[in-house]
Amino acid sequence: MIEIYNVTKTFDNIKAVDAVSVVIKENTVFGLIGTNGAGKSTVLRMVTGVLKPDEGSIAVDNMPVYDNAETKKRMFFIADEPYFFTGANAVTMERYYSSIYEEFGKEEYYEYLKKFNLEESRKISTFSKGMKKQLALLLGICSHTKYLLCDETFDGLDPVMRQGIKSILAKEMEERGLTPVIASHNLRELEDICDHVGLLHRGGVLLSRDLEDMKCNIQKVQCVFTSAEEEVKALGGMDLLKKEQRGSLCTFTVRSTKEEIMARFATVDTVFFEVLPLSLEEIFISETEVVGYDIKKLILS
Amino acid sequence: MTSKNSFLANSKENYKRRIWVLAVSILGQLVLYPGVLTVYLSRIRFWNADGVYNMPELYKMALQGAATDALGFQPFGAYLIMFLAILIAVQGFSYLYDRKKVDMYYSVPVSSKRRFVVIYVNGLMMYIIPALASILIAVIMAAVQGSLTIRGAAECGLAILFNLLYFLIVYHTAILAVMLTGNVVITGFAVFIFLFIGYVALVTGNALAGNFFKTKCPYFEESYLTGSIFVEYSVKVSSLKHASSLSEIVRNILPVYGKWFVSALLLLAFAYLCYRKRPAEAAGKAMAFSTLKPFVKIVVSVVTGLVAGWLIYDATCYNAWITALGMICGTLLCSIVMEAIYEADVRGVFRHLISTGIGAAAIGFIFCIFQFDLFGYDSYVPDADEVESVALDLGPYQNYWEWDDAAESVSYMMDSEYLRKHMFLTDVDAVCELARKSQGIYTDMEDRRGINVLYRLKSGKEVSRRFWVDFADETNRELLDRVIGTEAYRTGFYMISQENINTVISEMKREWGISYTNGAISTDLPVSESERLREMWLKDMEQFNFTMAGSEKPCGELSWQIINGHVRMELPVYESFTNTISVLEEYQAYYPVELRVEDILSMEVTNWHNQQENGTWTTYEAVRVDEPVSPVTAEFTDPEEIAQIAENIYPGSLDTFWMSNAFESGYEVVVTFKTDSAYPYNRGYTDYSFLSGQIPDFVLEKTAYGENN
Repeated sequence: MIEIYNVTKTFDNIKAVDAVSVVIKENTVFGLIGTNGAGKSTVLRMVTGVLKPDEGSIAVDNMPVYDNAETKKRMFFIADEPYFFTGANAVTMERYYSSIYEEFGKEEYYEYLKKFNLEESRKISTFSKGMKKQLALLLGICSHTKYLLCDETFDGLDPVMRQGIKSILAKEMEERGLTPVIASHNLRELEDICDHVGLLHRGGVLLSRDLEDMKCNIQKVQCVFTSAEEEVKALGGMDLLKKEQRGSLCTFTVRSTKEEIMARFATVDTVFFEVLPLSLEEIFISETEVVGYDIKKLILS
Repeated sequence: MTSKNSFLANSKENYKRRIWVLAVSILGQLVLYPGVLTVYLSRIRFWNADGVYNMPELYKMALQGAATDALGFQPFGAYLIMFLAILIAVQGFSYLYDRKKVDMYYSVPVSSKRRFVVIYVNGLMMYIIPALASILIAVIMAAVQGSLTIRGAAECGLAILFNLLYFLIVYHTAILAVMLTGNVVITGFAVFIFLFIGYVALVTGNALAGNFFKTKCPYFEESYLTGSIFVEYSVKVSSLKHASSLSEIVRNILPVYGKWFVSALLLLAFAYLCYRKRPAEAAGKAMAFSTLKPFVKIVVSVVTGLVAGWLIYDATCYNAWITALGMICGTLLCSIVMEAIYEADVRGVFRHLISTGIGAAAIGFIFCIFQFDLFGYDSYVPDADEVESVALDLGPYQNYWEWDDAAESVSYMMDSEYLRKHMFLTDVDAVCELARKSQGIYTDMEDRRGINVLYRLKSGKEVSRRFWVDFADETNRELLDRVIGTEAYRTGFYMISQENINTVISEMKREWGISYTNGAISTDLPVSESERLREMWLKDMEQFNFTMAGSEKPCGELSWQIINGHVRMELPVYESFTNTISVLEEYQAYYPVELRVEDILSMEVTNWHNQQENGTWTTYEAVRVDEPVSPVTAEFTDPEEIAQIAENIYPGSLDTFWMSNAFESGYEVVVTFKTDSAYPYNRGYTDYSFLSGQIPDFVLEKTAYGENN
């Protein structure tokens, strides 16, 4: 478990991260989202021990991380622009990382290289940006660390590759309890990967929730009531987050379980009603609007 | 097999990234040792083929000398080793400049301590292994060609350690520069600053002090200023190359080893501390530690101001106020340039004006120190109670030397070096009083003489000053009597005072002799009498003081001459030196200094019409001319004229340093003696000078400058 407690970091009098507290549970995919400059990279760089927090503390499995090689054995960090040695190829990088990470899976690495069509002997400098990210991910996965921290790594990967990586991550999570932490500025990139999402804005955490909890507790309902009285009856006592009406078709976003809504609407006279699943984007819009932010401007524009 | 994530595994991986640096090191060391050896030996062979060495033994010695030069202390090392040390250090730690690299290196499970040690040790090995291999190749080459001597091998061994310590200092300095900066360009500046700012500050500060302070005394100061490891290396190599023996080299180099070792350790400790404290976010910035920014800016800008002042003071022919303006402008300019570099933005030049102001104020204060002598440099005279002893240089020039037993050769010494080593005057009161009395008086003296003084303070500190004394002043003469008329002065000034000097000379196993001259007649004396002559002369010298020296002219000169006269000790003999003269008379070596007119064939007087500093011509007719004037020579053969001239001249070779304006400096008299004289004049002619104010009128007329000349 990674425990980030009240962490602050300032660069040249500019507060990049301001009193951030987040807990990243094991064996979940944690998504760290935020706009450019929100502090995602800084948080990840502090979590991996690259940067020292000015205030607060970070513990990985109850051990401090900064300048602690023992803790870092459990982590692999893929920066937003991963560094590869000058003139290196995939083999060079394997040799380096396998000399550092004791459990580096060489055979697995070369198998993945074949699967992803990454040539072993080709200079990495000739790889495309996406190929470099794939290679960095493969190196990270094959290092067999407990935590894999990826800074904007999935951004720009094509859907096929993303699916491939997702599969590998799922497999690794199942087999050895890998905990990926993925930072991105794009909610849509994380929607189908993450179990838990933390939203950073201007150096602080706006919210941190389990996706399942969020999805289960927020529902979108489309319906056409037979009368206004029926509408009042249906919505009475419900935690209504949003309401839209086009003609006679009403769309509600409600904080409640599907079962509760179904039970409630079964007692109301409607022409038509339907409970729809919300996308992560819609959930975030709803949640952040509640606390006064226009999420569209933050991470969806 | 190397275990994973071990020191060796990390080291191996690190080497892979640095192979090109290793290649440069190997290439450089091959050039430095086998390369230079080949060039040196080829040169000797070329000269031999050209017939320079007419004996096989000389040729062999030349080859051996060349090999020793190439394997030992060579000047090229200063440049090449410095280059390699900077390259290895900067390349090794260059990952700190790049955020991408920092992200990778800091996130992997290698402790920062391990990473430092791996990079540091690998870098060190990159220098040491190619150096030792290249030296071994060069030694084998020299041995195969018969040019390797024991001294050559020993010098080679000493030089290996010398070069290694030099490398370490530059290497650690460069690492420190990397730790303090955030990109390679600024590191380059920092390395340059660390390596040379001390030297630049010392040289410029010293030059400005010399220009502004009238009592600055370079005489007793170090002949070279260091403040830079590069300069110190070059100076040391130069002096070690000229050392006459291995023991002299060892004697000179051991303190350097100690000093450099300690310096290297301190630099490494500081560099490591900065490494540990350096934040990852420093990558790409100008300075890694923002707290150091104002300090560095002030130091560099003040030194720049000093340099500006030094250049402007000379360029404006010593205009103090333009110099002050230049110093302040130089400091301000440097400050704003540094601010622009710090901010990586030209618009940043006017930020942090407080540190800019402090720099300008500091240089202004430094100027005031020089201009107004704020700390009383020129008025400094220590309390006699604070002074342990004093060494004093009044002149005249002496030939000082030391015999090196191990090398079996003579080492020449600077006057200042000898006096520092041997002169310990304890009548400090007299010297301090003399110094005090001379304060603020630099001109308007009848007989102005410069005195260099070295105060050895009881605190262990040494302070030197130069001041001017009027030899013609009665009070000064009394004080000088107290200084010069002491055994401590004689012991410190005359080499003959050393008790074992004759033993040393005889053990040199070199040709040597003793002679006496009255300026015109020289007579050799038996060396068996050397000790008696020494003792007699020292006994006679007990009456010697400034009053005597200033009023009595020497009647001759006793001289110890060693190695065909290349090494000498010349001692004045006065007519009151009865003990010495009695020994001279035993060997018919003593002749009166006065000329016998009947022995003179002719006299030739030359008036040089010397130009004085103020641009006027010092001639009796007081003619001022703007064009150079040819000397005027007149020959005199008339016995009456010769008699008149003979009464007023004196052998120019005899030491009359102590006498105020003893001679007419613009005239020379060449006396030609008759060949049938009863006296054994050593040459057919001898140089004389007119006594001050005693030139006969007919000589003045005949040597005057006129239209006919």
